[in-house]
Amino acid sequence: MISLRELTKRYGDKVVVDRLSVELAPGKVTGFLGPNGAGKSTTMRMVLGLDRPTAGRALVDGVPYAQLRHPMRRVGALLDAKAVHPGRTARNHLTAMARSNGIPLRRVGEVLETVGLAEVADRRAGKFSLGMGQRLGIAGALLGDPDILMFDEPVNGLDPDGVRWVRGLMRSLAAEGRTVFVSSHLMSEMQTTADHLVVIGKGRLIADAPIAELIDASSLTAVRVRTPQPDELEQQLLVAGMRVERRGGDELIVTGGDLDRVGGVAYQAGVRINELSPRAASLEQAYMELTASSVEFAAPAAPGAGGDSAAGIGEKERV
Amino acid sequence: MTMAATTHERRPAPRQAAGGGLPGAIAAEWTKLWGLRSTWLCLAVAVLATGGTALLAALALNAGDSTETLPVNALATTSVLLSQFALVAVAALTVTGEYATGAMRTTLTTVPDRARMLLAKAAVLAVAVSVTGLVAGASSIAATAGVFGDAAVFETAYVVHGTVGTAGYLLAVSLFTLGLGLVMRSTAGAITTAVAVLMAIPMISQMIGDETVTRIVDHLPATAGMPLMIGVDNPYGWGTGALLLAGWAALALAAGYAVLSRRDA
Repeated sequence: MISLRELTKRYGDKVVVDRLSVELAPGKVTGFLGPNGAGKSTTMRMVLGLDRPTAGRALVDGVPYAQLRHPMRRVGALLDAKAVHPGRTARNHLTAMARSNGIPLRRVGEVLETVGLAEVADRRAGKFSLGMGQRLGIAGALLGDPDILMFDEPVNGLDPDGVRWVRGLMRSLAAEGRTVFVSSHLMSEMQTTADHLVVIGKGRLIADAPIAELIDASSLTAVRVRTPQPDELEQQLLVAGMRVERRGGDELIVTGGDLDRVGGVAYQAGVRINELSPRAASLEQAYMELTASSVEFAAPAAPGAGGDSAAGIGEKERV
Repeated sequence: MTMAATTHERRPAPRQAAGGGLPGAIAAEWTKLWGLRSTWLCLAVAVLATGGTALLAALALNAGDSTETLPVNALATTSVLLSQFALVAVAALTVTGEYATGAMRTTLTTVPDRARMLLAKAAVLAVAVSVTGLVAGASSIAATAGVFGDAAVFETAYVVHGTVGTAGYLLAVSLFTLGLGLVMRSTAGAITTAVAVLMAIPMISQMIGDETVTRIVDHLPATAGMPLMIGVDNPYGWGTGALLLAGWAALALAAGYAVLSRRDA
């Protein structure tokens, strides 16, 4: 379990991470989303004790990372760039890591096998492609068989096959009951992989919710209705406080109400319906909406936009 | 999609209470040091350059047709004048090479305790440099003895100063550079500073010839190494020299540790 408590990082006047409080639960893939420069990598580096928080704490099972006796057996991490000396072979790199944490050396061969680098284990890492470097980083993260895994942009530089592999790996690690924390700017990737999302913008928490809830909360999540009496239905839906957008002759896109409510209004109005279907916002849309509002929060100093902002966003008026 | 938490099917984890800690950190640094070609290359160069310089110096001296005898360690300081920088390079690279490539992030996530990491690096470097220093010192003695033949005087003290003294000086210089590397995080910066302190500043001070400057420069590592390697009491005894060298190394390592523990990796 990773807990961030009011975690803050400032560089001079610039606030990179702003009072971030999040708990990451085991058995789930938690996606960490945010635009570039939102503070994702800095947050992960603070969890690993590479950067010192200006204020607040990042705890692993209740203790700072630096106090863990065998950190690699608790937390496995893949950082954004290659953190490997190019002059070292993959095997030498992993052997040194294993020795530092008292991990049996047979694990080196095992993880090289897992990530598909067994055949190039004795080649120097400097000769590796970006994708191979990512795989070596993932091998390092898996080495200590940790309960918590953190991946910063793991699919960077991977070919489609590699992307699918990473996706499967993260799902199976979570299925084994581990905590999996993955940052990405690829919303589509998160939609297929993550169970839970932590979204930050300008260092602040925007949302911390199950992925389905975020999509539901999006004002772009709508109900699609086809009816031969669109004018009449639109009238009644507006009366009921929903918002309606006309599409073509017989199609209405309704927001601010769910299937039951729209169906109920139609029934009471005695309007015939040919189609009544949910139109889920894609994560991409939900995400754009969330981060767009983060810019609004961030304009003048407006404190108090912390953890409760996720709930508020879905009810924001569409402009 | 979210029911994953209920299905635990983990392999038996290779989890032991033992291992890691300082011994683990030392084992890791040992593995890393010898996993780089540059280490082998630099250490080989250090030995060859020491022996080679001693040989050239001995030949030059001998050509002067002096009939006087010569202690076998007489050329010790001259022999390491150049070769010490091969060890300076190894020392700097153990940290600056990691900063330059991003490998320091791996090092610090595997051994997050800064003091432990630094201790492990210093210990591994100390062993590698000391052994190399002994061999290098021996090669200087061998070259001197080879050229001077019967005119070369073997005494226990000469041999000890020439080998152990040389190793001690090179050890101090390497740890000093390790500290510089931690402060600067740049290979060029650390090596340039080491060259300045070990060679350029003493040379310039000699040219200036100012008494005050000379007295200060006499306390720099280069001069402090002379009584240690040669065994003469000039400008002070080898004990003082050893203390000064240890002081310089300790100072640089302390500064390096301060930066390491305060600045973000």
